Amino acid sequence: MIPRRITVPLLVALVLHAGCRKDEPLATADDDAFTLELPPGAPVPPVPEANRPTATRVALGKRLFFDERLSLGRGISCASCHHPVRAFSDTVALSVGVHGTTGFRNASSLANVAYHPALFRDGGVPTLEQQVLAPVHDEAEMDADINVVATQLAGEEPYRSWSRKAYGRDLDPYVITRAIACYERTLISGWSRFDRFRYRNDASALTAEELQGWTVFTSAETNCSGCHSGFDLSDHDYHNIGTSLDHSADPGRERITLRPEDRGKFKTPTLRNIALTAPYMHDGSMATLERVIGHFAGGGVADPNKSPLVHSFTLSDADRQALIAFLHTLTDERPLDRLP
Amino acid sequence: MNIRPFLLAGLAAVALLSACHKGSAVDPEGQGAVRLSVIPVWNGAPFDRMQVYLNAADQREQIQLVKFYLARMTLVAPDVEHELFDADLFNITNGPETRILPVPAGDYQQLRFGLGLPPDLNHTDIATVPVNDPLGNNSGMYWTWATMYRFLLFEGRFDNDPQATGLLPFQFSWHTGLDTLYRERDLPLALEVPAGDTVDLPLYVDLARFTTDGADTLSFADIAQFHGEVQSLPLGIRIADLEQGAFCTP
Ligand code: HEC
Ligand code: HEC
Repeated sequence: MIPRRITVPLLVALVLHAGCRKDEPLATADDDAFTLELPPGAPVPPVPEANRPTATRVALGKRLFFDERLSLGRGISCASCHHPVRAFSDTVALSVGVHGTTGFRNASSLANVAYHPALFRDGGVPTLEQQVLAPVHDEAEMDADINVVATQLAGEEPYRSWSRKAYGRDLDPYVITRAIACYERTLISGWSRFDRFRYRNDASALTAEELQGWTVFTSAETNCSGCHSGFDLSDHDYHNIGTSLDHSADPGRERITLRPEDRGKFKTPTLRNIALTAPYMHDGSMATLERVIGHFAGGGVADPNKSPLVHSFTLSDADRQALIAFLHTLTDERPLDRLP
Repeated sequence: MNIRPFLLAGLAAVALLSACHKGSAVDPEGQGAVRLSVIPVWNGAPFDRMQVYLNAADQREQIQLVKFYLARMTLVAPDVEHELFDADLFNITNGPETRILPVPAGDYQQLRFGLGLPPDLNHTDIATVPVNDPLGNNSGMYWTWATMYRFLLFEGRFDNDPQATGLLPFQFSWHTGLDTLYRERDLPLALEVPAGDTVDLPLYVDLARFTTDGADTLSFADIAQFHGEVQSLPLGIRIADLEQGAFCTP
């Protein structure tokens, strides 16, 4: 006999009980709207319905992002590894956390992170809100407990009043994760000389050499724009580009999907502000753009998962220089963070 | 000013408040309860965390932490089934953990549950859950890198020399998690719950069977550390299978 559910009221009770688990805010306090200034050509970034930006949410997120007390006062804030002047990336291959130890990946730029369908180089985290917990709890980064952090900051101004104004509740893990995500979504890159050329019809924005570099970048020979495509110069997809045959230190996308065909695949990084974000690659193993281009020109190692778009090619010295010159045009001409 | 959000929020608040009056929707007539005890044993005998055991791989073993989620705990009768809870966290390191749970009176013949969290719960955004909820931040069960929960923490110390005495030199730590390692069990039961009465429902966890099911024996020398690494997933699958096999009803 097929078992049937006991009674409708019971089912309703269960559903309602499960509803108690969710701790979403019951009310949003009166707050000023936040208008994101989008550069020409920039798509409108997706925003979760439950965490629309307001002026106070964004300001609160910014304050938290730069607050070392997220590591319980041990000298590390989000900005310690995501430097604003480096397009919110780090200057070293592997960043150092509260215990002086390093993690196993290079700190990504946060420019245009609002457009990423999933976070981290393996895409293991679905939302910016959920991402916040990772560095706070990671032993190699802040090694804190977000609940302890929230308890320490909640009574203090302006956290107390801003939190209430922004989310209608006191500062807690919910508010911390939502507010930081709101701030990160404001870090839109799209104000470079390349953007003037591409999206604002300014033919004089690039030199002849840089234009030649753009031609090389989009050529069938190099295939760069096959993956570094669209407004963010990234398809935000995962590829194995043949940097190494040894995946024991980092299986890449396979870590999340558990599929062997994803071994050694990493999310295509944006090339925006690339001149500011050295060293490069998931492990920071390439120090310069020359080295990166040398890698692609060499076609990478013979990994079974390597993308067919990566294959060896020959560039003249002039074209190689032009490609590098082009990559330098991707640097924003104004700060990513436009908040007061 | 747009008042719709406030109206909606108000309605939501009322809905949530009434929802939190647990049990009010259930007719108290015909109600009984079970006293679910999750009981650690070692080869059938009461488990003692101070004791050094000899495991099936001939290693000395001392267990220091056994903590796990049980999900969708359901009593099944021929014509009806009743979910006792959707997810709860048990730490049986120091002995049995007990929950008293209301249940319609009936003659139950099966206990069905999951070890770990089913995907819909496993992907919960932890910051939206009250910190002291079994799925909340204070559970200490969250894997931030995977945005999912650990299912079972099994930790302690071991020694490869079965004859040795004294301190155990090595540490083991098996943490399962990830959707693929979620396991469901169906255990036979003979449980009559009369109306107005509370009856015992013991669920034994034989910790000796975390490393063997008689046929498959896993040694800490093969794998002392597992934290969901895809590189050791085949061993992780064996760990999850052994762990689910360790649960039994009387
Ligand atoms: C100790 C250094 C360190 C600290 C502190 C740190 N991060 Fe990161 N961050 C990293 C590294 C390394 C990565 C890349 C990790 C990966 O891809 O697995 C990263 C990645 C990210 C990403 C994903 C970017 C992408 O392209 O997918 C976001 C978002 C982010 N960090 C935000 C934050 C926030 C917010 C904080 C503070 C709460 C913070 N980080 C603190 C090192 C750090
Ligand atoms: C098959 C897709 C693909 C193609 C084709 C490709 N890239 Fe990439 N690129 C990637 C991925 C994926 C990474 C990140 C790899 C990693 O993290 O180890 C990357 C990394 C980079 C980086 C380092 C970015 C950083 O922040 O660390 C640069 C610079 C770069 N590519 C430039 C180029 C250029 C120039 C070309 C053409 C010669 C090119 N790429 C072709 C996918 C591609």
